[in-house]
Amino acid sequence: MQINFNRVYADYQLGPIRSKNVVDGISLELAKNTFTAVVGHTGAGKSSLLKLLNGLLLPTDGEVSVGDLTIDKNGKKKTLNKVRKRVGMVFQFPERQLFAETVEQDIAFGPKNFGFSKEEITQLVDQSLKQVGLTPDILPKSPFSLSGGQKRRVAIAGIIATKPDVLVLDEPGAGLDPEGKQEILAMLRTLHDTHDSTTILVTHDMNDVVTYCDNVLVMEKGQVTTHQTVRGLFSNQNEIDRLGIGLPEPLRLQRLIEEHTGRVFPHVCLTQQELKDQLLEGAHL
Amino acid sequence: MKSLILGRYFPNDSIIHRLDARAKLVAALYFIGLLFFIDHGLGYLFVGLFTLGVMYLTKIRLSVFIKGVRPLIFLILFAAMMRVLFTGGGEVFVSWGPFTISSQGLWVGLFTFMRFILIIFISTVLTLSTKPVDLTDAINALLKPLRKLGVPVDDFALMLSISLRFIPNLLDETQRVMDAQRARGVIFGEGTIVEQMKKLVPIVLPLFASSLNRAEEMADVMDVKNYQSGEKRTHFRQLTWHTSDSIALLMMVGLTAVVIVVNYTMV
Amino acid sequence: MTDQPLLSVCDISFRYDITQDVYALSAISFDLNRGESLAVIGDNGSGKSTLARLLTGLLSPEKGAIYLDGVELNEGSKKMLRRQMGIVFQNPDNQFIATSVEDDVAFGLENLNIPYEQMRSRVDEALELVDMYEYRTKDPSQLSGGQKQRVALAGVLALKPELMIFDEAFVMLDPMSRRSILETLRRIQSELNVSIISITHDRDEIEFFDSLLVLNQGERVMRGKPAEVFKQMSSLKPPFAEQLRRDLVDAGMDLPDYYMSESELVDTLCK
Ligand SMILES: Nc1ncnc2c1ncn2[C@@H]1O[C@H](COP(=O)(O)OP(=O)(O)OP(=O)(O)O)[C@@H](O)[C@H]1O
Ligand SMILES: Nc1ncnc2c1ncn2[C@@H]1O[C@H](COP(=O)(O)OP(=O)(O)OP(=O)(O)O)[C@@H](O)[C@H]1O
Ligand SMILES: [Mg+2]
Ligand SMILES: [Mg+2]
Repeated sequence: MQINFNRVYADYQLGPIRSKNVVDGISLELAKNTFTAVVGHTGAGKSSLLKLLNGLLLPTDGEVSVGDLTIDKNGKKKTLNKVRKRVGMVFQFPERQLFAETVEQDIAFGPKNFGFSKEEITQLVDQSLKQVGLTPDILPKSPFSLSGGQKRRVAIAGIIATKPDVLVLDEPGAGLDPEGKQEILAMLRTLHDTHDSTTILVTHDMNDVVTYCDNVLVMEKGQVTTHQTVRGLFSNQNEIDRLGIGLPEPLRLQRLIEEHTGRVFPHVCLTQQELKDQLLEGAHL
Repeated sequence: MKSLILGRYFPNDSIIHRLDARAKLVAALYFIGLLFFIDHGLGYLFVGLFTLGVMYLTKIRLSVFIKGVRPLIFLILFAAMMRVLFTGGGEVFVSWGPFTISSQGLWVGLFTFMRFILIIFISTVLTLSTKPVDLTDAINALLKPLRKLGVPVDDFALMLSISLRFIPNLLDETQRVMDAQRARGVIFGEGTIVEQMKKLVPIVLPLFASSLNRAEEMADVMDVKNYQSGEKRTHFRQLTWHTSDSIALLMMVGLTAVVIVVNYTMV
Repeated sequence: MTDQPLLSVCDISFRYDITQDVYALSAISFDLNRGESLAVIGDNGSGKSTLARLLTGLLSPEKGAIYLDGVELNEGSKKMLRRQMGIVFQNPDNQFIATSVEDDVAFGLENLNIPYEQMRSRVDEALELVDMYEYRTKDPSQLSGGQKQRVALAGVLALKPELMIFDEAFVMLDPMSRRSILETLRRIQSELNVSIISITHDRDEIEFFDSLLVLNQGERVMRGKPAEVFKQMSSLKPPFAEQLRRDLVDAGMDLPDYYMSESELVDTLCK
């Protein structure tokens, strides 16, 4: 599903009390089936951008469109609900929102609200459980009795069970141990590839960006400062310096070595494999 | 949820904002007390205009204040109606069992209505123009004499400031939980009463859990940061008294004079 | 100063539910010297946060004892000992007491009866250090996740304690800010000779710490310099540089076969 932002502005209004624009005139286009990372400093407006995508934050000006649905400042409830069915949103620390008595009920909550039939729901619950790498024996358990990583998976299952065309995630790996984090991100990538969905991932970890994402969108002070392919961005050191973003570990190490030897590698290494190959070929010598 | 104005601070730069919190608090309380002594329309006209003047000076749009009244309007109308129905005297228009609608009753009803509206307006002025921290400090400062009598004034002030902290937190948390539910297809404000009540369960449960959790963690933070009830502590916020603050209080005296004059000359 | 360790944890055990035989921590011991920094790692649920709560006296060990500066931490002494420590908890949402950023940073100082002028300068200084000075009058609940964590950190820096404890306190920061804050902390550590305990899942933070404590299901697996820990525990995910070194060795490159920090690896490669 294609996503468009057309000169979108937004702020956090408290009743009549306005704040400054936290999304400040953003125009962008996210093509179908892309896996896009959103990165940027704290407070840049990443979470706010995600909220705009499913109408939890309404633009004060401009429009956001998801496929043929458009959200503007008047945001009709009907449209919003349709948008929300299309856009599955996984909040930061989604496990804090678990509430049902059993895992099964929790996962079924979304599909029920969006009007799936009983049979469909049973099937969706099973399917999404499998997709997040859990087994059915967990279904009758209370979500509160699970470990951190399991809770996170259940929460994600509850979102993908509604069969969204667009999946939006706010730092889904935060607070998980390295294994747990890697499993979840790899699972998301598989899900993306097998379902042809459009995925948007907010993350601080550049290693995740290079490992799992195709495109990257950098935000700064409510604006998009660049939107391009991951490799394109990290191949351009000037651009990275200008944007003030961090490097993935392999590239950071490559730069350190280059600084040390004064010799530039023939290729930019984004993954451990690439760096290893270059070093084996003697790029640093 | 977001339209609740009473109790929120509205950052701005105005004469009223710059007044000392103690002056504002004393003046507001005094003003509210004064309202109960007015028994003439002209008196209400005066204090009404005064209130409007003060609201104007905050440089905050009138609509903000109106929105502050809106959630309470039914309550106020109800109270005013009761006064109308249970007060007799003057010309009687309608009489039905114990209820009468009389000219006297209508006046009393109107006064009640005015009194409530003005109380809300003036307290809204107070909270919109004063940071909650300053307000609690002002309360703390004003209650200080009680400390000699062994009243735990500091604890009381901190409790108040934490409640002030907790309320917006609770609202934000509610917002967050509701957002998460909306994202999962819940449509709030639709359906029958029973359906709407059902939708509350998935909000109340996580909210309850997170509030408990929050209270516990905040208590831990206070504990670790060595907050000890009843013990002397310094204050980061310093309140400073200016001439304008004295003038504000003097205006209250002036207003009292007007009310007294109106009450006694216009009977 | 004597050379006794600042913090001494002796054989502590703890369980949340005393009717059950499940220990959140069992028989943990370690020392921490003045001016030393320690990273604590371990899977979700391995007891890291529990340890932090025990160290700050919010929980009491069922067995064993904790000594700070040679004084045992208990009901009687904890008020006094807490003056020497500061902690940032895991959840940044629940750590704010006051209604503005600067008031919150000042909260701990007020409780210590610090005079106003000194408070003012310490608060400003701490907020500058974490780059949040321009947000000082904001309501903490309206900050983004990373901004909240910075403010919480400033609250500890302003206290200038001898022991700082951070429970996953940097997860919401972007990598550049995280590195710069870790560098700031390291500077403070050596300038003021403070001890730091930082709980983290991020293996690339490890290079900023002197040593490492690994927990697994409530038990101490190892304590030592990163080099020792990663040499002995091949199953533990190492920092990137070490991962790469292992990979290169496997592929037949002529590299010494022991743990290397990033700078060591770069030096060796460039020789
Ligand atoms: N509920 C709120 N009310 C008012 N302002 C807010 C609110 N939430 C966020 N903001 C402000 O909006 C700006 C953008 O916040 P946002 O949460 O989108 O940032 P972010 O890029 O997700 O940051 P982080 O990486 O720290 O999560 C920040 O300056 C923040 O202070
Ligand atoms: N308040 C509590 N009541 C009961 N059990 C608890 C409580 N807090 C933690 N536990 C349990 O104690 C164990 C250790 O938890 P702890 O929070 O210390 O882990 P952690 O290492 O900090 O994990 P994480 O990396 O997820 O933060 C876990 O099994 C957890 O379920
Ligand atoms: Mg965010
Ligand atoms: Mg923890």
